[in-house]
Amino acid sequence: MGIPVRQALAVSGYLMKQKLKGNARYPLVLMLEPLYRCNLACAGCGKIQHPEDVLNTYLTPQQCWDAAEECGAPVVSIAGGEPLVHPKIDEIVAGLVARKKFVYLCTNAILLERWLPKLTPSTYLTISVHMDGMRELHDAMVDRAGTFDKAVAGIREAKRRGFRVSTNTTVFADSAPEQMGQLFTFLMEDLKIDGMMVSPGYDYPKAPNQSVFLRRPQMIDTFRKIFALPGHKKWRFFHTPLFLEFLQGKRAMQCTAWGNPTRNVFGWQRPCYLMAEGNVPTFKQLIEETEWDRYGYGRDARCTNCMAHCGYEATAVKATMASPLEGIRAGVGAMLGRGA
Amino acid sequence: MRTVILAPMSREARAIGGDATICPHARDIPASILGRQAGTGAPPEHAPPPATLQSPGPGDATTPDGEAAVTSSEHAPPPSTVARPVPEGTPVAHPTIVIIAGVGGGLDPSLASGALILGRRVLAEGRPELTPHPALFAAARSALQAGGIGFVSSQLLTAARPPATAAAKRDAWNTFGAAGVDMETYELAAALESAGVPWLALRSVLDTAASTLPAAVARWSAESDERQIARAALRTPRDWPAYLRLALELRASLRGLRRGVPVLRAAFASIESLPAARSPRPGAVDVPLVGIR
Repeated sequence: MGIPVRQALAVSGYLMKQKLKGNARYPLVLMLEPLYRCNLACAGCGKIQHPEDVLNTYLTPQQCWDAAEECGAPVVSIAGGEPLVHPKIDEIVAGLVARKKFVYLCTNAILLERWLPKLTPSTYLTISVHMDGMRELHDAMVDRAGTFDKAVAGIREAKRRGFRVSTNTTVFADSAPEQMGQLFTFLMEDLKIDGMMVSPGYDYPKAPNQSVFLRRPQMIDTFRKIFALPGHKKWRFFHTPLFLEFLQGKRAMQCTAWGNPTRNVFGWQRPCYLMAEGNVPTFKQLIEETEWDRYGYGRDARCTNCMAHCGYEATAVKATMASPLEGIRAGVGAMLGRGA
Repeated sequence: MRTVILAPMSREARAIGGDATICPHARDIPASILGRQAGTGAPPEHAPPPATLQSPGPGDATTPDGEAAVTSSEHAPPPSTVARPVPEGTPVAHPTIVIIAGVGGGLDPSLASGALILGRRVLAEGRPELTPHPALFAAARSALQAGGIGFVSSQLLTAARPPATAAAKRDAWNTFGAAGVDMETYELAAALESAGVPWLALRSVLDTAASTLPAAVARWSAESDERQIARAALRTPRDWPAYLRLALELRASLRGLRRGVPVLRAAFASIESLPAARSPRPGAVDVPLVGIR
């Protein structure tokens, strides 16, 4: 099973409502960063390079819930930093679930087994574990030995306790298509996770290792090879078929930066999850005062090599909604988790 | 500074207004714009950089050291002084701003027919990219915003044979990241850049990224081909819906130009000078454009 029926229906209903209201710009997924502190320093991460006082700043549970209500997106992805470092992450998650938000709790899973007893399985909660490859590649990308084994143990324990578990894989220059295929098959067949997410790495200028990033033509080539591997039809992705086609260069898309707004410890980040050009205090200001047309592939040099799902999945969803045929295809694909 | 509009086709020139110059090729750029005698052939290979560009005085525009420099046709000096070489690095006064305006194929899938693309870079495969004068570009952005004109500032691709099918457009989009494609902008911009004339490109989307052009239109290379296209259209009734769609898209596209160009022209009328630009001239970019950069 891919995306739960309840989530698919809730998101479809939300989209219809936005369309009927005539809203041109509306959020799909709130990217909630309640902290920047992380217990890893991954090669391709440009999120955590902040002074100590910023790393010590955490959003309160109330601030997190307010952000979810202010923005109104049906899905909340809790990212960071490492969310499980937040001392009140269980409270934050419970509050969001109580508000009927579909929560994706992103984690490197180092602390997952410690937190699982304090979390409650729910259709609204998916634990999304960061997995960049099989043991050797994953541990190299996160720059700490033993992390892969901890993540696998965390996933097994979460599944045993009845949680919905997905994984989030970032594809880098060192990610050989065969290795990615091996990982996806392992995740689906051995760990029996509910679904996967995949995205090419964004070339953060602050990332410690700039050589890990792919350029757009390489990304397309890598994803074409990944999705040509035998057994790819058994992989389940929490993505629209259109997004997976986009990754393979079979679809032309422009970024929808406002689709995944980011709330962090400074406020609402402008313009998107990956680029930080300052923050505004309210979501309304973010939507109404940002010059959205300035950003996107071809429009801003920083977007040249970005094919990340936080920018393009919203475009894929919009395109799906605009075409009844694509809607049916995506609906069936999402239920089955087939993607492309 | 005076503003000159170069439009590749007569239809575009008519939509923009009476004073637009029809200019499908660099060789058609009036000599008065390039600042040299008519009929002198290709632009100078070692034209001075577009350094300090100052508003012309009532007579000859001069550099600070008194050397005669290029001027507008309104105050044209004798031809012998027009083409006088200017030492490299010498600030140059040039009185003309050129807007290259026309319709073009859409590659950015988010753009509808009639959407305006302000070129922040102009690309051509295997050639160094060209960028407009930053101050001019910024002024254009501000003017369009202030005028409430919707636009995107993106890259424009010039190709001898623009992609005509949705699949070819998708591939061009993935490769170049250009919002639109046309057949003229690069050549015109390169000639102007070589002559030190500040330029800006504005294109209005004709056929969208998702559409495929009828075969006869895809073979289009000049306005003189339009009769052939009309004859081909009459012979292929199955393409009539596509021609009808294209006609409607052309209307929207020309409407976009009519909206955008006057706003730029009005804004540029108040520009007296442009600060020194560091934008490279053709050939000055070390990294050749190979696919996406």
